[in-house]
Amino acid sequence: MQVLSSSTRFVQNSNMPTLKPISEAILPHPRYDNKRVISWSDVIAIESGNYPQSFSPNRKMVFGTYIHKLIEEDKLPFKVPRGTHHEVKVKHGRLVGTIDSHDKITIIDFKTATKHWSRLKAESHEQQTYYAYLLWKDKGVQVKEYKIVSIETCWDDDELSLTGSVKVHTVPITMADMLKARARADRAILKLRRA
Amino acid sequence: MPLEVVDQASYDQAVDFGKNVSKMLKYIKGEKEKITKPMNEAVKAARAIFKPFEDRCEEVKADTKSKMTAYLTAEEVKRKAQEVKDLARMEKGTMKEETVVKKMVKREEDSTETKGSTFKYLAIKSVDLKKVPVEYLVLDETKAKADYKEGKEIAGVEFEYEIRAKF
Repeated sequence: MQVLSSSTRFVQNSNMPTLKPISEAILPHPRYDNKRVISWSDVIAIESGNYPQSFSPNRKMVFGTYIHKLIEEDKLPFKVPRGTHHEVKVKHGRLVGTIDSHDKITIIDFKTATKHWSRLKAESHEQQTYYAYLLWKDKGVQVKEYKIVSIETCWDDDELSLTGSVKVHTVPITMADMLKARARADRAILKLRRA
Repeated sequence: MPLEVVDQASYDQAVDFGKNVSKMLKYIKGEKEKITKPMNEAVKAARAIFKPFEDRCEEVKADTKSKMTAYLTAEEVKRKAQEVKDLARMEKGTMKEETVVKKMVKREEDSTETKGSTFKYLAIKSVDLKKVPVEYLVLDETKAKADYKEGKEIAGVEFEYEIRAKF
């Protein structure tokens, strides 16, 4: 049996990748009081090498925010599924998120787009399982599903408006899904710490 | 060319006219084929030379893909089994949530070493035709017509003979 000498051990340790402290790797987040936290869009940005992201809202985003506000105040001209809590900030460790709407069973995410969200796109929207994880850890609410409420918009005389067409995709959430979303976020942070 | 077919005389005129157009069409096609036929023969010959090699490559490619898919499927089964096992231990209290997540991160880190890419292909797993809504069913017209001509009645399909003009 080969016995490792202390110098061999030292060489092995020096080969280990050095990690930046987490507080250095994560930058202050302008949407979360400049705290060093990570949102889901940061996770995506880290994965694609675009972290930190620039926050310059375009017309579509501004319109989306306006529609969210109308839904929150129940002032939309047509009915869409709504939860009991709106614009809920959730946090667990360095991970943060803002949920559009939720109740005890469902997380609801409103999406305004000129083309409806497809089932495949809705089912692959891991952001919602990430929110479900944070909601569970932060508030103790363990939801069973998420709904993507796709609200169709159109350009009308260079103005965005609603067509009135709504499509809802319901996707179940399992514990494995939630932990996978958390693992994906952890991996993104690891990537930042290795950079 | 007769503008309208309104009586027997104009109908007869249309038949003669149609026959002449058919003759002209046949002549045009003949002239075209004098040029295209040798070209097509040459293309056919060239295709015949390369076809066996192309077919073999396609075969090997399909075989390689199927082996890769089998490997990915087996890995996915293994990954899911490990996940189920870890989650069961977590529920039982013999494994911490942090450990489950760490193992997931590690599996993901290991899996990205793989070359190439994958995509999600939507396949039909099983079909119960009795339950499929009618809008998704396509009528096999050729079979229905052939069976009808043989004297078979086909529920839901009504046939009629149309009179169509012929030169």
